[in-house]
Amino acid sequence: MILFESAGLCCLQDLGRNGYQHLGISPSGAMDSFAARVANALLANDENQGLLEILPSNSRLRIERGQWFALAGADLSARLNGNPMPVCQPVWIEAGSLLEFGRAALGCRAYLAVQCGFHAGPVLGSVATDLRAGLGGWHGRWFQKGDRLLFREQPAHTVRPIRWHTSFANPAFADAEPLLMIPGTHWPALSADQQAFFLYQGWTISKDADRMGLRLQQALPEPACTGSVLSGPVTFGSIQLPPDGRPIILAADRQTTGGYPLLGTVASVSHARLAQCRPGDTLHFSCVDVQAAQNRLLARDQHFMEWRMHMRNWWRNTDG
Amino acid sequence: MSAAYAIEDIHPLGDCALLVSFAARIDPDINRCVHGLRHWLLHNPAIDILEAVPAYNSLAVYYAPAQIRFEALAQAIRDADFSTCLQQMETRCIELPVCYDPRVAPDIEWLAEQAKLRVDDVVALHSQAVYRVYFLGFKPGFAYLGGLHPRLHTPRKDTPRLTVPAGSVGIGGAQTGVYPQSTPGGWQLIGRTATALFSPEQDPPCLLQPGDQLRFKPISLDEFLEQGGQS
Repeated sequence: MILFESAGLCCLQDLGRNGYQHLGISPSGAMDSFAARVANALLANDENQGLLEILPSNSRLRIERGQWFALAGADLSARLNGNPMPVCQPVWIEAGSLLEFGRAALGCRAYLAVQCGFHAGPVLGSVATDLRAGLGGWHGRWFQKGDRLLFREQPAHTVRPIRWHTSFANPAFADAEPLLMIPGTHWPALSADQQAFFLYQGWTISKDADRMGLRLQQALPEPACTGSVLSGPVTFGSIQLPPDGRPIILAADRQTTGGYPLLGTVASVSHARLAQCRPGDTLHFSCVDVQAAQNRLLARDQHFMEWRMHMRNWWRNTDG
Repeated sequence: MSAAYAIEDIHPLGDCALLVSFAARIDPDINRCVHGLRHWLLHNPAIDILEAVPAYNSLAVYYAPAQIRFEALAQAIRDADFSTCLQQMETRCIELPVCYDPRVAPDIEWLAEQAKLRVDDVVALHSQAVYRVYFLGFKPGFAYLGGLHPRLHTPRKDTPRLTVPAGSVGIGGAQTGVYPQSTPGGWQLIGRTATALFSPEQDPPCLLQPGDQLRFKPISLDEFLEQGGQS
């Protein structure tokens, strides 16, 4: 089990509470769902297994029972008993160890998975924390000092020194590629000048950036030309344009519908980079059509599934 | 009733969803088409989708590109004949007991005065109407209702309350609705129900479903308390 000696900003997530958006229930789930899948795959877990989403915030976790762990996503300068904790590889952590998180060296959301998962009762089929509705996860909230999170099972694999040679860095947010955006229903209503401004401007992530959405600091000139719209469904990465012209990119804890014009939606392959943005980071957008975005997504998932198979075999051989 | 309105647009909503739009108006018949198409999609085994999320005049269809690509799904929707779904769709009518007593309805007297009505008339106008659940959004179980009598249209409060109790029935502008959970809110509060609108331990977790009809049934404060309400 894990004792939160100092909780920082840490919540339980999985791949989301899917299938209830028609009832106004947000899917929530890991902001960087790709990093979450990587963390679970490193342990041969089900990819929807619950895991910790950790923000830069001095979380101190006392591991009270030995287990296999894996860390993926952001580099939050994690230290295990004072030494750097390896990222993107399985690590056996002995009972009594202290795992500490600190400064964000790269990105801002780290994912800590444990083999076989944490003990948490699903709500509507998911252990994801919906912080806005106070639903799921750990009593619907961030972890607090003194909370004790149990593991689901005893270690399933023998403890032995491992020879680790598979490298799988999370490439999705390390590069400086623009965020790919699939134009939305109101993109054509922008003038050519506004479209050019949107695509050539460097956009800064403002302080208003959380699991609900990320507000950008700059404003699109004369945004009012798009008029008012009826509330309509929105999704992860949808870019809304409120009357003040400062775009909002919706994220995991978004409302299921929104009433602002929709400029476009960030492509799935760019979600990890979006999820790892910190206030002050600069972003660029680049338009992509839906076919090209889907081709890239399918290629990435194909690559990921091959790697996951490789990881499963690795665990099998480790035990054998 | 036939499929009175044609699909006006099908647009990608990112690479794992698409947005189907009908004429951009708040209109019960247009909304019926949204729900008819949703019903057709959810009951069509030949089309592999993940979920379908309705709003006033639009429907988001979530899908996995590994199962079906945008163009194929858009074409299937363009070709859809969902007119039989419109005929088959059953409209549920939900009756929600609401206590309009000022002791749990802090704004009803003020609202009556603004509307130049007696409190009893506000209750009658609010509870005699049949409301349409256009869709749910904003919060789990929160229904966007249509059908509020124009005499009851009232601006929101200048300063929102920090806490509105769960079950509060409010009016904001031309809309009326019920807060499923305790939340900050700016609507004028004219009643309260003891019936839970959102119970995450149940499936379905929400009392109201998109496309339902809703009536408010006035109850006394005693009945409200008997039903588990708290004043």
